Amino acid sequence: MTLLSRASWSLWWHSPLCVGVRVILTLAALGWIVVRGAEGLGYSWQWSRLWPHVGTWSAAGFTPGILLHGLGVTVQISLLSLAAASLTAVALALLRLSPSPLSRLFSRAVIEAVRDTPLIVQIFLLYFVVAPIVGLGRLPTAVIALGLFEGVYAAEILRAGILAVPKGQWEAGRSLGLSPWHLWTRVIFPQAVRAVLPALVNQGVSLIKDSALVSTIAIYDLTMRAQALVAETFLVFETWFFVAALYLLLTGSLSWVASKLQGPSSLNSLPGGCYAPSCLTGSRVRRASRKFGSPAR
Amino acid sequence: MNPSPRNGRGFWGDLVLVLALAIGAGWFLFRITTQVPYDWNWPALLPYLVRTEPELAPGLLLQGMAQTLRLSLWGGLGAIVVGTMGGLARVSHSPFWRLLSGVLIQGVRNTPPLVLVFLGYFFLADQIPWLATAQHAARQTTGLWRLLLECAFGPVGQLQSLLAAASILGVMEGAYVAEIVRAGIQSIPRGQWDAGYALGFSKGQILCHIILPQALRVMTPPLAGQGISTVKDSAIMAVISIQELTFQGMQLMATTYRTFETWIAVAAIYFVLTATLSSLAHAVERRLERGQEV
Amino acid sequence: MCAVLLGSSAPLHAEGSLDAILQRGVLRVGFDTFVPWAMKDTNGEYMGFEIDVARKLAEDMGVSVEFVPTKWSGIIPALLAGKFDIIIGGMGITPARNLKVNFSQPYEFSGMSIVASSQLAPHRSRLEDFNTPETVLAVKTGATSVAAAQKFMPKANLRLFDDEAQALQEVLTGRAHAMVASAPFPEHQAARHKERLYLPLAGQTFTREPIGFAVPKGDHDFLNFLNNWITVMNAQGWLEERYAYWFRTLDWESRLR
Repeated sequence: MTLLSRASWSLWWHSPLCVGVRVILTLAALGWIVVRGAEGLGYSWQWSRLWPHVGTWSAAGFTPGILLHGLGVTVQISLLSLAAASLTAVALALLRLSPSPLSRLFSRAVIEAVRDTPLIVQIFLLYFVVAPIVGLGRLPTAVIALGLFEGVYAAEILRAGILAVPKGQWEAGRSLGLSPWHLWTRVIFPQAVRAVLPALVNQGVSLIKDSALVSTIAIYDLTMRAQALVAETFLVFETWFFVAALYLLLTGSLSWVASKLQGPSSLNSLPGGCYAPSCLTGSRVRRASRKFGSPAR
Repeated sequence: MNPSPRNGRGFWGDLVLVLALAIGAGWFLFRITTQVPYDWNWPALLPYLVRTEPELAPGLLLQGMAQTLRLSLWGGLGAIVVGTMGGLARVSHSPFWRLLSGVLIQGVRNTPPLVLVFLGYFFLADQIPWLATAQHAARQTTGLWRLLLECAFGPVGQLQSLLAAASILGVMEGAYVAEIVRAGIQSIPRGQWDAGYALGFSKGQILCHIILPQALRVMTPPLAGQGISTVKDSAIMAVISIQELTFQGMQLMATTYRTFETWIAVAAIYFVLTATLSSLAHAVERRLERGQEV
Repeated sequence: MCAVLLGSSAPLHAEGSLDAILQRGVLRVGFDTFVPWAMKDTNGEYMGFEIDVARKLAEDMGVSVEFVPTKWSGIIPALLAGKFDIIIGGMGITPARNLKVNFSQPYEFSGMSIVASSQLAPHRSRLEDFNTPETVLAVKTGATSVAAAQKFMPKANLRLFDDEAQALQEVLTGRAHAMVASAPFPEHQAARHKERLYLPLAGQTFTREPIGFAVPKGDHDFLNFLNNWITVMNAQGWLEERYAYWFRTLDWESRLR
């Protein structure tokens, strides 16, 4: 009897619902300790003073505060940099795979130079040294810095994806008489991108996170607004916890969208993704061959 | 592998590339010589690299580089501890630990480092009393101990902030190390576990003596990459006034106004640091691969 | 276990900070680089008006001094978090700051001054000339120059930078029309870059700000000590003499390069 109830208790204890509740309770306990710890140091929480800076409700409707303005700038910079990073990634990956040694050398040099220095130093270098010489504005500098940095990492991922496309696909494409443009855009890229999508999404998450660094060159993004707010109101913890939550919301939603795109298998994927050709799902290859007709027909 | 074998395109592509680079460089030179007057003064930077008065000693930038290396070393060690615990929790049998560690790791990985640094600096660092105790104890040391301590942790007065920053860095990088550890453990075939159980080993013994030694070989390249990232990511600690290379660069700019020289020099030092570390890591990797073949 | 770890740190802050400093034998001073208040010389040693004040204060307390350079935007939170005992960094006394920290009586007075780009914003001689939506003003994050600029030039765009060199660079490269900072920084810069910068107000300051030591709330013994130390130093003329050296001469510039 006791044996049975112990077994059923164990079953219940390890059920997904119970595990979820236990994790939430543990996290809540951790949070409570943190909050109490701050009070122990003599910090008084004043969340109510933070909300006007987030936004205010009035008869006219909702007026966003400076933090939401900052969030808008962060989203804007992230989107622009994402476009810049995609261009950089494709260009560098193609140069890296090009038959010409000069192109390969050039892309290797760019990739190494960017990967071997911290982003914050690159931003300073671009903003304080290159931008005044070339005559670039603040926003373009930030977008170029972020786009170059993330693009270099994405280029290496993309290159791995392109190399993972089976040789047969190239040969099939050529024997069908596809132009190089069609070969790349219809056959190679779709498969390459799909193979490394998890890693690319990770890079996108990194881009949103790293965009916080543009605050160091006085761009009014979320982090800059938060810093100014802290300097003005001294609401240190309220502001930073709230800002962290906003960033989590952004990066989390990107991960969520990507997992929807990819299907359930990507949920547990590693950074770097799966480079093995076996990772290429057959459906996309089949779809590609259906589109161009099979050579047997 | 060579995806586009047609040589003619390679030639024209090269020509375009060379032309574009030449035009870009030419325009840059034109701007820098005529449009934006800046009186370059590299010798002014020298005393900040190596100072000669009153005696030969590392200057501000080299001190900063040393502090960057110390911060990366302790942060990296912290990351290994955090990452191993996190990675083991991720492959635990208990769904509770898997979910809890998963949530915490994803939380850290999805928050900007800058925000984590601010939160950690103002918030968590003060709630760890042993940091203050360590600082107090360090002040009491003299002689050889003091020398050793300063070698390992830099100026004693900055010990507390260095340890706090290293802890934050350890958590930030640890979240990535955890995934490397998890992948490493999961890359070992189940049969190895079964064999261990069959031989009557306990779970801990199997992990220590069978699984981890094999997993380590898989984990070495990504761990080396993460170590190099740690050096670069430590630059962010400048925003909380840890006196590492980037911070010293900012200080230098604030006192000498030699903006251009300062940032070019700082970037060059980082480049040399990480390039050296990468080639070291490559050498170790090749050594390991050769070891595996024998 | 966590609760024990966290709980035990509270008494550290509760005891008087004056006693804690004397017991430790070290006065930890928070400041940020503001030329000529505090800066690094070529040997990597700190120098400046505030550095002299901090050294003298520590000497009179019989303790050694430790300098903790801290970004100005986070300096008050850092003081509250116990990263150092006192801010000696040319901090202007304002009611908003005073709600968070205790201030000593003022030991010097400073004022805001403006320096403008002669290329981007030539021939302006009044603050009102800068009070337009097209004007970009560079200032240092968290400094009183932000409030001063907002008060006197509410229509202008503010660009916040972590330090004054970055803000100045902004004006020098023609990306901002002017920079607002405590005197004599703008005057020194205008003298150094004669062809690119000028002083619209001919070197006049447009605010007058009392500067005091900032310490955490709660220890009135320390505050009493600081106030009387300032009185004594004023009576001896020491503060005036140091002030004259750092702010009215440029003798110290040779130690910078």
